[in-house]
Parts: sequence; C-alpha cells; structure tokens
Amino acid sequence: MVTVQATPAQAIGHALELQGVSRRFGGLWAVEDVSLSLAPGERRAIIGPNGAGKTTLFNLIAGDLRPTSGTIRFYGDDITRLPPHERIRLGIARTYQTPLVFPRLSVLDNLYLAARGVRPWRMSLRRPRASDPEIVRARQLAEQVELGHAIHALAGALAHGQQRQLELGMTLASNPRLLLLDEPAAGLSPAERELLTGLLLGLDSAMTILLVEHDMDVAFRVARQVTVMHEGRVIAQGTPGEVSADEVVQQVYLGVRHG
Amino acid sequence: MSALASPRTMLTLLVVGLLATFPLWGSAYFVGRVFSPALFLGIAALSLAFLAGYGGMISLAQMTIFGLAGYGYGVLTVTHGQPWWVGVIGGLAAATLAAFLFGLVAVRTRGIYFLMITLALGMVVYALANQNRSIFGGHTGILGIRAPEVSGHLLTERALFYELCLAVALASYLGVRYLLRTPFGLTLQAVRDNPRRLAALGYHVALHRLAAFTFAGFLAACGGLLGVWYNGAISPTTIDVTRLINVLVMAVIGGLASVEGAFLGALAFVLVTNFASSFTERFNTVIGLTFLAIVLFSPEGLSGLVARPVELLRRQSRARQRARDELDELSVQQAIGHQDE
Repeated sequence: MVTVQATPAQAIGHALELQGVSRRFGGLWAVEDVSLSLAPGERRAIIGPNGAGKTTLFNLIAGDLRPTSGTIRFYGDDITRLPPHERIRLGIARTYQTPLVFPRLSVLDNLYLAARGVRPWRMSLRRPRASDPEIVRARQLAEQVELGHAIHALAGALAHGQQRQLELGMTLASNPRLLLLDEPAAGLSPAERELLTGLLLGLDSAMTILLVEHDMDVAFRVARQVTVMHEGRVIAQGTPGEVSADEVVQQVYLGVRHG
Repeated sequence: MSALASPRTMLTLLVVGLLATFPLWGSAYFVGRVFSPALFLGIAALSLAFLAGYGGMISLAQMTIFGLAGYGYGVLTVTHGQPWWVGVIGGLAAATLAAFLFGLVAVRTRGIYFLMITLALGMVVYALANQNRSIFGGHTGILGIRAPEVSGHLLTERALFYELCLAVALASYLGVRYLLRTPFGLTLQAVRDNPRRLAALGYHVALHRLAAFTFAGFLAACGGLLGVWYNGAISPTTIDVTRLINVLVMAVIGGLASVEGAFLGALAFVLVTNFASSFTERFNTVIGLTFLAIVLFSPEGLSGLVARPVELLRRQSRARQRARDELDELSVQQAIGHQDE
C-alpha cells in the first residue's frame, strides 16, 4: 500500500521501538530522549551505573510509568498510553528486582495461578484435576525452570535463586512475545547465576528479551546487543565486545573524567 | 505418608462419631448450653477465619451479618407472620445482600483500614437497629421468635437443635475446606500473599475479595439463623461492639488461619464465659487473660497447640524414613565396596 520501498528492517518490523522517550521526576530527567529498537527475537541488555535510568526505562516499557514525551511501539502498535494489564494481554511480561511470588502457596499453585490468569473462568469452583491443561502447563513450567523436584514446596520456603526461577516460570506462563527482566541475577550465588543464565539461554528463540543487569557476565552471555545508559541517556550501543572496548563506557564505569 | 493418612482418617471418624452421638452420653448442660452455642458461634468465627487467614481481610462485621440474618428471620416470621421457610430464605438473603453491600465499600481497602471500615459498618447497623422501632424494634429488638417446627418437633429441642448445629457446622467446615482448594480459593490466598503480583497476572483482585466477602457473609448468616432460634429473640445487644470483637477473639484463640480452629476457639470461649461467670463477675478479665496466654504461647492458637504433637509424630516418622534410606545407601555402598575388592 505504501509506495515507498520499505527497507528490510522496516519490512520485518520491530518488536519494540522507542522514539525520543523521556521521563521527568520534578526537575530530574530520569530518562532523556532515549530511542532504541529491538528486532523480534533479539536479546538486548541495558547496562549502566546506579541511577542511570535503567529501571525507569523498564517501567516505561512495562506501563508502570507513563513517559513525559516520546512514543513506544510494540510490533507497530502505539502502546505509549496503554495501562499495564493491557500490555500483558498484548504479550509483554516482566519480572521485578525482588521476586514477586505468593509465599504461602506451593510452587505448583503459583504456576497454576499464573497459567490460569490469562484464561477465562478464573473464579471456577471446580477443583482442578491433574489432567487440567493449566495443571499440565504448570508442571511443564516447573520442569522448564528446574523446579520440577520442588512443586509441592511453599514458594516462601525456597531459596532466593529458586524464587527467581519460579518468578521466571510464572512470567513465561502467558507465552509473552517480549520478556522484560529486571536484574534477574541480583543477589544470586555464582552457582545460581549459572543456572539462571542457562535457563535464559534455553528460552524460545522467537521471544524478544530485554534485560537490565548489573552483572556483566550474565548480561554479555545472554545478550548479543548491549545498550549502555548513563544519567538518563544512551551513551553507547553495540555488541558486548564493542561496548567493553568503548572509551566513553570505560570512563563512566571507572569514574574517569576528562580533565 | 500413607501410614499417617489412615490414623488421621480414623481420628476424623472418631471425632465426628463422638460429636454426633454426644446427646446420647453427654450431659444436657453441655449439649444444650455449651456445644450448641459453640457450634453456631463457631460458624461465625469460621467466616472470619476464612476471610482473615486465607483472604487477608480482618472483618469486624461478621457478627453484624450474623445478627442481620436473625433480624431478617424475626421481622418476617414475627412482625409479618410469615411461615418459617420464608423467614429462613429471607434472613439468609438479607444478610448475604448486606455482606455484598459491605464488601462493595470495604474491599478496596487493606489491613487496618479494612478492619476500621468493617467496624464502622457494624456500628452503623447497631445504631440503626437501636433507634429504628418500626422494623428493628428499637432497643428491645424482636421478641418471641420461634424456631421452625418440623413434623411436630420444634427445632430447638435440645438434642435436635444440637444435631442441626452440628450438621450446619460440618457442612460449613467441609465447604470452606473444599473451596480453599478450588481455583477461587487459591486465587483468594494469592490475594492475601501479593495482590500486586496477582493483578499483574491478569486477575481482578477487588472482584475476588468481594466474592469471598459475600460468601463469608452467607456462612455468618447460617450461624445467625441458628443463633436467633437458640435465643428466641434478637436485640441490638447481639450486634454491639463487644460481640463483634468476641468473634475475633474466638477466631484468634482458635488460630486465625485454621478452619478447625474457629470451632475450637468458639468452644473455648463459651466454656470460659460459662464457667468464669459462675465464680467471678470479672469473667471478661479471665477471657482477656486466656486470650493473652494463647497469643503469647501459641500464636497459631489452639489449633496450633493441637497440631504440634501431630507435626512431631510426622517429623519422627520422616526421620525414621531418612535413617532407613541412609542405611539402605550404606549397605549399597558396602555391596559396591565388596565388589571392588
């Protein structure tokens, strides 16, 4: 329909596209004029020192905050003003910095509720059977996030790393097209980190993943593209190799300034 | 596990059997004045334990709803001369509707605010009942309320009334136990644990809380009908602030997050009130001290005290199992060792 010849990138379309997105808190620009685009299936990490605006950017994409200016598109649709639950329905799912699980319910029940949340009849008074599709799905998710051995344990009794695995499983229950991971490796032991990295690498390659991460090791292994933020702006973008060789990035991380 | 499941079933059967045959061997006083009220008050306490322990909603309006069922029955059968079944249906419907309306106001708040709003709603109804003569009968309330008569037997005959209370209590108990394992019940517990997360999964949190509050209201209303038959009258005293708090005391004594505890708590409460009041006028002090002792020494209430030996037994059997497993492993290792040699 459009007479202008589309470039290949536009023909495929972006999974997520931010154009000039800014967010101001009083006099502080937490995020300032950020533009970035993710191709479907891309794995992108956002890194940067504390206060760089990473989490704010995340909240803007997930809908927990509205941008002061700029537009956010998801597979071509403008979602800038959509509330969070409608973004979830479109296929955007996120995890939080502190794992949000239901501590006094079992692992299986947590996953079951997550699997059920996206379907009708949530108020059903019929007891679930082992053959119910959501129970089957919950067990499958438990296996996928390596909690198959602990499905009857209470979520609150799990180790921190296992709670993260559980939260990841709950997030995957809705089969998201875009997965937002907010510091998935924070507070994990090296062994737990290894397990989590393995889980992330094993996810469906069609799923687009955007993660905020302090841990370079995890970020560089999961992501092929890295965006570096500093004081609300994007200061560098490229492959992990390019970014770690970048002079500006090194200065920001080492705290060296031009004298 | 299977070894433990059968004694548990046996224990359940024994308890139910003893309770069902209680009028045959128990004293008339205990059947009529202790266990019967403990059962219908226990239903009210259960409605609160269900809301508080599983839904995170500490409601002080449960006794108000209990009382409204009694008022509904009284108004219909005494003031309007309707047959008993109209009173039963009308009383249950009026109280459940009231619970629904209370819920509409209260479910958007949490924690202490929820408690205060339900208390305020209870106080509003109390003031209304106390001052309105045309419907609620003012300070005197409604007197001369008769229980239903079925084939020549008044339902308030001692043994009959006891069995009726037991049947309704058992049905409520099993109903709540069942409900907690359904998707609805699981969702409710998730609301208690983390409403934000639940909303992020696509659930309508306020609607779930409203549905749970209405269901709990229906339970309290069932207890309220039994209560009004037992007393033969209803007055604002049934729904004053002391009564509203008493049911919370029962639920806490029994253990807030325990379905059985509600009845244990009610029984303990009725026992302490009956016996303490016979030798001291300060029976409220005795109740208060009992309450303190239980909260201090067993935060899970009486049901926690009962559960402790059971948990100990289970732990022992688990330890035995583990020891056996280790032995097995040891002998396997020895066997492997022998092969190596």
